[in-house]
Amino acid sequence: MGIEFESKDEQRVSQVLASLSHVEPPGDFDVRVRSRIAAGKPLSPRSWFWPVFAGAAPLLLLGAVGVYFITQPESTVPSGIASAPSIEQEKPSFDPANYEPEVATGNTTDTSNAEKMIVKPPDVDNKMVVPTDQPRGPNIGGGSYEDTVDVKKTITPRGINVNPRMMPKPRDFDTPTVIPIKDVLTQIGVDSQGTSTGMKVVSVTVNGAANRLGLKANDVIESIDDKPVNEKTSYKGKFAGKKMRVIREGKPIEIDLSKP
Amino acid sequence: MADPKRTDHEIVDAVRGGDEAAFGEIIERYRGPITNFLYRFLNDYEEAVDLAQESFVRVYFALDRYHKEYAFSTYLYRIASNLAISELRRRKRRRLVSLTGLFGGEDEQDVEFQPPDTRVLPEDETIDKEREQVIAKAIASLPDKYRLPIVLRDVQGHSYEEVASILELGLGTTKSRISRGRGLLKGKLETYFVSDGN
Repeated sequence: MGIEFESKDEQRVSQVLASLSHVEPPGDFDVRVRSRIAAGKPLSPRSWFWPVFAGAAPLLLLGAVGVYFITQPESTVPSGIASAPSIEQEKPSFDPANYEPEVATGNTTDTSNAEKMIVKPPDVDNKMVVPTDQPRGPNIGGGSYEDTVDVKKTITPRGINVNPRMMPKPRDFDTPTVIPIKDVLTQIGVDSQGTSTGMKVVSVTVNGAANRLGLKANDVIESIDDKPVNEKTSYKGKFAGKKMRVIREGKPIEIDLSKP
Repeated sequence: MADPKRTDHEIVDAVRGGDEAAFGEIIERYRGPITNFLYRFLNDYEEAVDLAQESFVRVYFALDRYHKEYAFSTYLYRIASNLAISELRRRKRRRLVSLTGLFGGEDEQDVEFQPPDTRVLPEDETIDKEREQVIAKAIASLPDKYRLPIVLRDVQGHSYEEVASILELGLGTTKSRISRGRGLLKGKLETYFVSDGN
């Protein structure tokens, strides 16, 4: 069979654990199990992935589209507006699909040249005048007709906020965390309890920082950095204590917290 | 009413044969031990009850796959253990509160801070509440791989062989982890050694 315990302390630990009381389930335990079974399948509250994914997928898609438009450089004009009439791209009342170059006949001064000459479409010249009295083309969204004339302007889809300065800073980043002393002591391996004179060390973790610093069970931590401590003491942000005053068997001891 | 003479395997055969009511005997037999095991492991009563119910539901729907080569209780505890481990991992991912950034360079595995469970236990009138809370905290401070075998062996009272079977570990590994876990608890529970002697 082998030896059950390697030491007497192991045996004592086992006895302490065995002395724990046994808790019982609530009276409706059986009913709840049966109702879950009757539901037809294991009800795992931990099976959250697919419902969350199904709900989040459209939002993720919208977010990806939004990020795409935000990251476009300023000179890029969205494709939906590219077909709008502009000075460089299209000239009003000129339809390239139906344009047939006119052969010059008698319009040139050199009649000996038998080559066909292409003349410009009759309504086009070097100056472009946008007729304002004519009806506008169909509204394709994303900006007004006048906006398309000024190609230096950035046109973005409606609803996209391109000004990052308007994004509010998450409030929690400004709020420092408040940590009770009990939690600070737990982190260095001390299980503690508040008393009228300070924080009493109930136990010390074997491999914890407190053990290396020399703290022992039944020590009473009276102050940290010369400031008295009790159960209500807490620290904002990071704990950076340098020394601890401890009462052990009625005698004061200084413990250096900066020891590695 | 549960028939105390029927073995677990006989009840499982009855359920497989269509007697769904027979499963109630399984629940009655193991609801207490499973709930207690999960409570001592997670130190959270509501979570323990929820996972205990989930364990029985999963066992019910997996009865067709259950093989009688090992004890039914082993099978049930194994499911409960896996659910408990998953719950711990889920808590770590959620990062309830993490204070490990305050101190660096500790050799020991970082202990995750868990808010104390201040709810009243069902039968706390005769219990030394503070002592139980200290012991529960000590158990909760153990790493998972030591906590499971310790709770199964020293709290639930399973044999080493049963613990090894539940955790699907070798017997030597199981004994080693239990011994190591007891060693880690010694420092936290020393006070009770002295007080037990008084």
